[in-house]
Amino acid sequence: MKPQKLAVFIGLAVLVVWGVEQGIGNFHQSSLIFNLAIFLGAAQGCVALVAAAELCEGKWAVPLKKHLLKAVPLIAMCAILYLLIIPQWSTLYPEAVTNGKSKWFTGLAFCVGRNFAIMMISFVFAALYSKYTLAGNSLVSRRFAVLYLFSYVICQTFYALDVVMPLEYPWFSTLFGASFFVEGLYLGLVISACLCYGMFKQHNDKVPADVEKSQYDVSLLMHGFSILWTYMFFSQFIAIWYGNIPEEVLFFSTRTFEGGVNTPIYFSKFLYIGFSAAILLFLIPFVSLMFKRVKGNPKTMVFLGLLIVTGSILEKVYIIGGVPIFDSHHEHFSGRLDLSGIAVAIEFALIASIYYLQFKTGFSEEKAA
Amino acid sequence: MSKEYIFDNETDFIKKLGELVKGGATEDDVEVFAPYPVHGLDAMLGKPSKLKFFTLVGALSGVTTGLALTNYTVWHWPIITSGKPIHSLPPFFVVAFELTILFGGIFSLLGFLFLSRLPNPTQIVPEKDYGNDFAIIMKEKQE
Amino acid sequence: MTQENTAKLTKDELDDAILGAMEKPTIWYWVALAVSAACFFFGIVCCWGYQMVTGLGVSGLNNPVGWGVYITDFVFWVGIAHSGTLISAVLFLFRAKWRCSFNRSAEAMTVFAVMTAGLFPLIHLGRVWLFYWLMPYPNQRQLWVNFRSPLVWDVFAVSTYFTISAIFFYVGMLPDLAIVRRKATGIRKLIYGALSIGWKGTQKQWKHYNQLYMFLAAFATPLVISVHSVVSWDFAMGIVPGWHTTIFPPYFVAGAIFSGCAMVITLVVPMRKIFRLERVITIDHFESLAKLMLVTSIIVTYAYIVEFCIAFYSGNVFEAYAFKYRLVGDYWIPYWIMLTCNSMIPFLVFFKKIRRNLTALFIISIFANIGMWFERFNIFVISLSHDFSPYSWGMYYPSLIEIGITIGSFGWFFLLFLIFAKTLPIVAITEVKEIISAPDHH
Repeated sequence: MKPQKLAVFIGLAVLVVWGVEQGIGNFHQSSLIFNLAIFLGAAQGCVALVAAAELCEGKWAVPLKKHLLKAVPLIAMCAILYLLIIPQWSTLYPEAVTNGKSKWFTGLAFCVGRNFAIMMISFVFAALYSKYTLAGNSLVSRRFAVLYLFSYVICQTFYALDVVMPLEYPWFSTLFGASFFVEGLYLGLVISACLCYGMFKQHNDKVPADVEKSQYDVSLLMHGFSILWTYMFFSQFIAIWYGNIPEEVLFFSTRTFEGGVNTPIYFSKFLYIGFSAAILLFLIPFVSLMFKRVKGNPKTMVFLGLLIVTGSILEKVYIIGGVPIFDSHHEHFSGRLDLSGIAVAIEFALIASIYYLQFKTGFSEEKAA
Repeated sequence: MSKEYIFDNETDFIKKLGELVKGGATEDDVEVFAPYPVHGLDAMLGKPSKLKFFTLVGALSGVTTGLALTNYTVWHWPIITSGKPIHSLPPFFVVAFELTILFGGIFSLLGFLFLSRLPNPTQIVPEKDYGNDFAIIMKEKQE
Repeated sequence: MTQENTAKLTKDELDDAILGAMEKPTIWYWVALAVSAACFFFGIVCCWGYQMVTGLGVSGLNNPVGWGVYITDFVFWVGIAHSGTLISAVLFLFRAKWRCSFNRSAEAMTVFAVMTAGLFPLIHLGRVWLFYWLMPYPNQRQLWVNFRSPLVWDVFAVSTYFTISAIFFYVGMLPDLAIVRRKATGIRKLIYGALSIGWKGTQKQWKHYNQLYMFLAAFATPLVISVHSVVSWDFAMGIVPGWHTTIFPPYFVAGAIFSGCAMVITLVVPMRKIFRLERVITIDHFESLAKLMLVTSIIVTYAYIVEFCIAFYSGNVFEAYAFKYRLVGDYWIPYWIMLTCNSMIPFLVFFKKIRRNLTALFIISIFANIGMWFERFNIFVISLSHDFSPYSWGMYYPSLIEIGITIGSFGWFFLLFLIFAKTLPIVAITEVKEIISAPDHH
């Protein structure tokens, strides 16, 4: 995609998302935070994978590099979309507005500003890294790879701790940031698997050996990340479950049970959503990737990738959609954060298609050349 | 008489072995000695190792033992500690996981010893040691 | 560059270079051995013996700090053990070639460090002769261990870790033992023959061997992560502010690998010099290891920062107080030692000149070891000494017996390592051979 065309698409996305948030959500929902949690992570994860592979001298990323680095402008797009949070900010974070002790720290300008700035810094480093690494200047590009990885980790940590976590004040978890950037890399691998499929199709029968090898390595890494994701989730779960401290354990207990004072207690639908997410993100990839036949087949890998994306969506539904709302005294559960399914779906489809078009340009450029 | 070929480098050795395999030699006809695992030799000769079945059995028995042991003991001595349910699975998964690894590792080792016929007391001080050379020994065809 | 350096060696020269290290030791070896043995005797035999006879009161442990230097040592040594498996297993799965210079000494380090670590829970027991109560076994009283307790998970994790590491160590050494057997004479030939259990190096054996090694590596990788996570859960499951935090498992794992890498550098730099292994273990290999150390140091620093920020950002007064107390409270000296050694000095490795300078690396690695010991000390002692209720606050100072036992544990570890360095091949000969003589590397 030419930069001009991409800019038009970004403008379109901003308009549509604005319209969706205005029209359907009435500023009372978090579909933007939800979608950015997935797409910002995926875009940054793609670049982070390339950067990390270059630093570790991992050969698997070499054939994929050009395609994965197409994700760089998408980071900027996510950063711009993030600014649309401004009008709904005070309804999303009522606690920050009322309970904040230091006004400037939890104030709108600094809160949105710092996250936007970090996203843009990460975009700038990604762009510089991509420029130098594609030019083959490995001495400079390695430096920017390090800087980019730092900014990636910081950006995802901020997104988790500063954007998502305050939705559920006073809950807090120190691992939350790490689990976000691990998931970003996981999604980056899903995109890599899809790109491998594209490359296989492009070469028809004569697939170069390095592409074949990197396809297999992507599958291996995905296997690793399915375990890593589970590890992160389980670590977070068991510490909170075992500690049983009220402000912490509410995260899980309100997603497991519903009902209360005057109504019978029953299992919440978020319990099932959480379990399905765990099955899609861990059990299915972990078991199926044990077999060589699955790992070496780009088609099944794309299918598996779709399952993982679904799992990731469900996990975000669990985390963001499941945010409980309490009455003003923090005693009685009075409902959930209003995550509108339609708004999420429209925005998701829109951003996903921009991602698709952007990654597709890499292939059409090659065809033209 | 069995024929013996000795090489001091990998390239010649692979070449010769390739010729022999083309000539119809299988894993049972030749005995091959190498100072280190030669890449691609497994694909040239014989079937893949059956070790994975031992590993699988080990891992499965480990996870079963882990879950059975923890759940049986709390059932047998049901005392509530730290306010947790009697059958609280999250902690038991940790124990089950460790036992999966333990049993899987031990079964793999035993499987390896069994499959490669070790320990072999007759070879403790071998009469012939090829050292750093590659050797191919064609066994006499018994007809 | 790596390949140029090692490609000059032939297979026979390699055998001689590494087996040369097993020849008659110099006087300095005996001196080192004697010092280690003396430390071991003083610390483990005398101090621990005294504690067994007198009781745990000889240590500084009391209310509210019940976990002091012993548990610090335990976690420190388990942490040291970690990079061994990491260098062997994880880097094996990632096909990093530089691992083969270090993996044998790192694996040996793992086994010995776990053996050292395993002493400390026993030292910490009041009645050590009843140690078997830790294991679940059918007994007359029909009692079982409490599987809901993280301490019991620890028993399982550490004993599994020891078993698998020992298997991994031995299996990796099997072909090398056969090489030693070929070169040895007399009674040594018989001993190494018995140790190499009749390994011949036939294709059939290699086939199963490769599979086994792959499986063990695949098992060891999640194991190494789980073991230190379980160790961290010993603390994170409690609700003491400063302990109860979800980031502990990955943070402990990273810290363990950090200290382990540092320990490998501390051990291998002198070893390479003494045994003249410059051609086998090159500067490039050290550079890679230093980078790994740097990465883990960054992860540890990330965890410090996140813990701090969340403690204040969450608005939880107990967390915020715990971290403020660490920074400027009674124990500020160990805390700042930790910050300097773990999060500042290792960042020097960012400079290429420093990470290619072995003396500098050696010094940095020693700082890292000190820093990681203090990290554990800070986590356990500072958090316990000031928990929720000011009524129960109290200070803890290590007693001389505790310091003596700590010194003894170092003696025990170095004693084992020195014996290893003279009796077993210190570099994975077979794997280096595979790399130097594979055709596509010429």
